[in-house]
Amino acid sequence: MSILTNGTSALLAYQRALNVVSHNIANANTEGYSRQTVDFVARVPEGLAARLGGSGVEIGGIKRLYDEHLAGQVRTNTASLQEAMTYHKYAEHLSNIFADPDVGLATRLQGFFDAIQEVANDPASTSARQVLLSESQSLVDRFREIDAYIEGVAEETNSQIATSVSEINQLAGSIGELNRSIAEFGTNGQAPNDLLDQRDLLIKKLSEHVAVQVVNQGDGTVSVSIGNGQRLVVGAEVERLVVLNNPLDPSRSEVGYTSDDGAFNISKQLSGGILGGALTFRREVADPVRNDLGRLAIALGSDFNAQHGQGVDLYGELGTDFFEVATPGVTTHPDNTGAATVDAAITDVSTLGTSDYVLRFDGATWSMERFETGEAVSLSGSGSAADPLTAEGLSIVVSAGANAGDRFLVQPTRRGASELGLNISDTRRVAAASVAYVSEDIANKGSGTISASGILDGTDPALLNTVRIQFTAPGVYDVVDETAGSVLATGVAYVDGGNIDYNGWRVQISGSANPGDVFRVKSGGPGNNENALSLAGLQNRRVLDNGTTTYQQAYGEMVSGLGTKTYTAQMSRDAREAVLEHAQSAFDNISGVNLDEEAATLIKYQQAYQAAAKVVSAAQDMFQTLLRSF
Amino acid sequence: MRVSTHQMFQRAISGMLEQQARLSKTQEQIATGRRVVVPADDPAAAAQIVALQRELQMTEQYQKNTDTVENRLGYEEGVLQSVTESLQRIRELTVRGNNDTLTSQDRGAIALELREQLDGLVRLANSKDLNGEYLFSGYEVHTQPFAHDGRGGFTYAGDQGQRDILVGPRTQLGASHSGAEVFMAILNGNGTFVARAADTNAGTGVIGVGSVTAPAAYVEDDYTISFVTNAAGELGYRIDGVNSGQVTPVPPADPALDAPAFVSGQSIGFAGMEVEIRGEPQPGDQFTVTPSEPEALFATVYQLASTLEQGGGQPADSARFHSDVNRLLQGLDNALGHIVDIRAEIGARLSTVDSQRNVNEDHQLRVNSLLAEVRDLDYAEAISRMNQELMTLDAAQKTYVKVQGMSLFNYI
Repeated sequence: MSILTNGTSALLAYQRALNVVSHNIANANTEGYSRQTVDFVARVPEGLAARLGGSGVEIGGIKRLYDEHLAGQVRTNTASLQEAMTYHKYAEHLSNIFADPDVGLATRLQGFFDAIQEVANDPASTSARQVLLSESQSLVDRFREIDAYIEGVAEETNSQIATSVSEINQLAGSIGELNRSIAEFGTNGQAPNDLLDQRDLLIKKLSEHVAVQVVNQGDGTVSVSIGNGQRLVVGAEVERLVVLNNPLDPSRSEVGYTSDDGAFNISKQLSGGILGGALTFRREVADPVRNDLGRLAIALGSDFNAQHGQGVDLYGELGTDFFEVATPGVTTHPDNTGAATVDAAITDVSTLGTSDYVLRFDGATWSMERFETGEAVSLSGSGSAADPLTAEGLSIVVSAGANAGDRFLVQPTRRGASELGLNISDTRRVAAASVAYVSEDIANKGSGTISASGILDGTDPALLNTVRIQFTAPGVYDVVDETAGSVLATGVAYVDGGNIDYNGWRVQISGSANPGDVFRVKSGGPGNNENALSLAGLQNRRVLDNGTTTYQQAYGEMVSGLGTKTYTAQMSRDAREAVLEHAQSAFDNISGVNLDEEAATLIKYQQAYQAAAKVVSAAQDMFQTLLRSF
Repeated sequence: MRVSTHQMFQRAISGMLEQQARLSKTQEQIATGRRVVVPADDPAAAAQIVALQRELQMTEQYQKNTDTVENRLGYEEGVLQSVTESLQRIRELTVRGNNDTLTSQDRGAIALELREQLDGLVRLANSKDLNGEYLFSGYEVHTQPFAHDGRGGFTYAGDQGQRDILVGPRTQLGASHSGAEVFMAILNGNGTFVARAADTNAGTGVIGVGSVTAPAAYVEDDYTISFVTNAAGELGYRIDGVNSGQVTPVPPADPALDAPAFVSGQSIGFAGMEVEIRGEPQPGDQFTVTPSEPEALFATVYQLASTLEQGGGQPADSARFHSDVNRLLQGLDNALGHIVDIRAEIGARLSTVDSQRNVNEDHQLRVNSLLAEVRDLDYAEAISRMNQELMTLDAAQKTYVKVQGMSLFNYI
């Protein structure tokens, strides 16, 4: 009765096939589900049936339509899209802050310099001085706010790293579990399709966090590794990632890989995914921008202080420091065995860069490299106080007692913006007046002119005294300190254009002076605005980057640099989105469920099932016919 | 090619989302009127915008500064206007007082008014500006610049500082003059030398202010013109310089015997100068010709008042009176000329302010139009873009609904 067997086998087979179709339809919207198809195989007939014409159908297997190569592409592109998205998200935050006219630095910088000009316009006015102090305070505040903002974003990347690491650990754990279950099925028999789907989905989710490499192990399981081949999952075994604090800069989280020797930092080897995006953003944007801002604050603060110290305030004293300026930060590596300490100072703002540096001692000499890239920086000097190590606007003094392998992190400008402060609260302390300004007496008969050429010794106690240079005879002059009422010199021979140095200043007289002619060197005066004009002049002076950039240009470059990085990230995000879409649709073209197709298959299998039922019914009819004939 | 159902939905939705994102960007641009809303829209333009805005603000400050310069100079000009008027009044009074028909009482009255004018002048020179700072004390704006010791001595307590103000990126303009420059250093006499009659003169010779006729031949020295009786028994004169020695008659002539005869009103020329003596000097009378010295304007007025008070009783006194008044009148004219020069300089600075203001305005215009070009939105373009985006979104929505309704399951 092979008809009955055949019919029954078909009924059973199509029942299962309809089951698969319904499974497909049910999972049409399930993430990671790959559609399954049924392989029908004609049953191999046995014995007599082989000659009498077949023994029906059976299910050879239920196949998962899945292309390993396309899945790999989806994973790779997911990782790079997530990287670009994360990078772009953070970069956009920052760049919008920098360019916002209400929040950015540009308006405050201009307000500050405008206020200096107002002081220059009316140096004796308390209100103009008060406005300058408040403008300076808001400039300082703005520097600190922006710095705090960048720091906030950097801290966000830290918590992003922590979140990603914990998700990676969780996903890796689940992948290991699934690997174990898959291995239990063995390689013979029906493959555990839905388990495979689940595992591949988890690997894809893993690649949202970091780029992964997947290798099939042959027993149905896969091994997953990250970075430079650090194994995360092998079969059922899972390694854990941890969050480490950078020993040189504890404010930054790093990704650690645990091995037998303990955890080591693999941040530099990771790429792709949210983790890669956050790390790249921190390295390429947050750190340099923060250093850049700090450099601007240090340059502005120290230049302003230097010029302010060349002036005289309303108390008739030399200008004190106007701004509080940060000094370079030095961190000692906790593993250092030596007792050496390092002291860094900024010597030249114009050649100062925006890098952080690692200073190393190899037992004989010191060397320096950039913190992020490891690029070597040429260093000169021996490190003693008399001959400090110098590089890129820095001067570094190291004390004795360093051991080979000792390391130090030097951050010249990191705290520049956060530690900028206003040192003056008394309006009278604004040094708007000049020191040692010179004048020819209005009654002079000769053609002699006097010119100032600067302060030689700012500490001279008589620096600010009024001094009269009086010609007593042709080519001979006396020098009288009018403030102290003392004679500094008599009968000095006149040299045309020669230096005349007294009380810490230097002036020159040129031309011919008649006997009786008087030249004066005087400092201060409430209406004196000469130093305020010099301070205002800093606005247009090119002081940064070897004297090519003004403060405001430097800020403009920061804005456009950030804008460019954001723009590039946006472009690459869009491009990667498109690439991922292509990869995903290529993958879906094979693995995705099409309901129309399933409907057609459903009809097909349904009809086949009906036909098989007819076969059974026909077999029954035949049997009945046979019975009735007796 | 087969397409999964999920993919079809996904694609339609992401298409709509993308269109909506574009539309929202365009909407934002239209709402703000700016093409570049965030730096990433156009990084190069963003940097340019920062620079241009800075340029604008800076120029605005320069414009404010031009107002400051204008106000200060305008104020100074106002004060100097009053000074000029006062000096003219003083001159008028002096000329009236120089008349021999006046009684000493009349002259006393004139002198009284001169002293009042003098007080007024000192008050003007001690003017304060709107901030209560002295206008003419250089940098020592809190120190009263001018003081009178009551005996004709005037001191200046300020310095020679002149406040410069920035009115352009590279243009500084003086917004003040020191009091020393304005009031203290006016050359007396005719600006080169001063001719005086000696107090002891017994004759009625009156010396004029004189002039330099040959600048190349001028030799600066203290000269004395002494009257003597020459060999011919006429009234003659000899001229000696402290450094030059005997000048007239030219050596080796005998200074007394060969002295040239004196003719009233005839120019006496020597060492590149000419002076004129009128009247009848007597032998032994002396006149001095010395280089001009800077003198405070106030001192000149004070001397005028004193001279008028003393007046001239005897003919010899009267002659000396006229000599003094001549000399002081010339000093007064010098002062007037000097103030006029300073006012002219103020005028020149004000016109520089004006032209600088125009330069700044032009600059602002240029920067503004550049800024508009770089930053602002082309509305026509943006609106047509928005219409297109709206249409695309509409089409995407419609096709989504159509495609979504299609399913083979509808037919079984």
